[in-house]
Amino acid sequence: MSRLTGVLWMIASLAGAGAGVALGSLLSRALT
Amino acid sequence: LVAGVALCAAGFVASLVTLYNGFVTLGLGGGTCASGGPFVVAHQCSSGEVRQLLVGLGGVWVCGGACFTAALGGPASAVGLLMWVGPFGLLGFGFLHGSGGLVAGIVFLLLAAGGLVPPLAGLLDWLANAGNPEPVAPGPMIVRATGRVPPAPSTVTTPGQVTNAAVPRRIVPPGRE
Repeated sequence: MSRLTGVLWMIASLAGAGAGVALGSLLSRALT
Repeated sequence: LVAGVALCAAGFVASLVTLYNGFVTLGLGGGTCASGGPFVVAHQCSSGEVRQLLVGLGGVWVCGGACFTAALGGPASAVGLLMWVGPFGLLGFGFLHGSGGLVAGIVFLLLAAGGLVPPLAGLLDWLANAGNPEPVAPGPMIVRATGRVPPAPSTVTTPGQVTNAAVPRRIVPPGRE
């Protein structure tokens, strides 16, 4: 994996994780 | 590929948050998911909590599997370790914070810490090498194969019969001589 791909990977996973926190709270609210 | 990584990371974290919310809500309410038997559960868990737990747990597996598969060409081991540390650490914290399960919380946190050992060991190695890359080959080769195998020593057992000493021609079990 090249350095550029690694950096893209990291940015994408961090962005996804951030979105996941918001999504998770919405999901838990929807499920209760 | 990058969009897929973001998507599965979002799904994985969302499932973790859902699982944690269900777990802590259940624990803080003092609820128990059980029925039947001679005892009556004081605070029966709600169906919403059960949904949160099930969706969270299923999502952790499905999205975690997707993330791991996406990472197979690259940092699969790091992703696998994150998938190990995340749920165990979060549930350990949930035990300590929510349901007061001190022993279970500590055990879960220790399990999560176990997943941090390989990257920490790698980091320590890296620090010990002062950031230099490890040598790939240990210097020039000293011993080299010639491609010729020397013949094994032979012995003459009976007149006219030459036997290789290393390979017996006939195996004689003990007591049958």
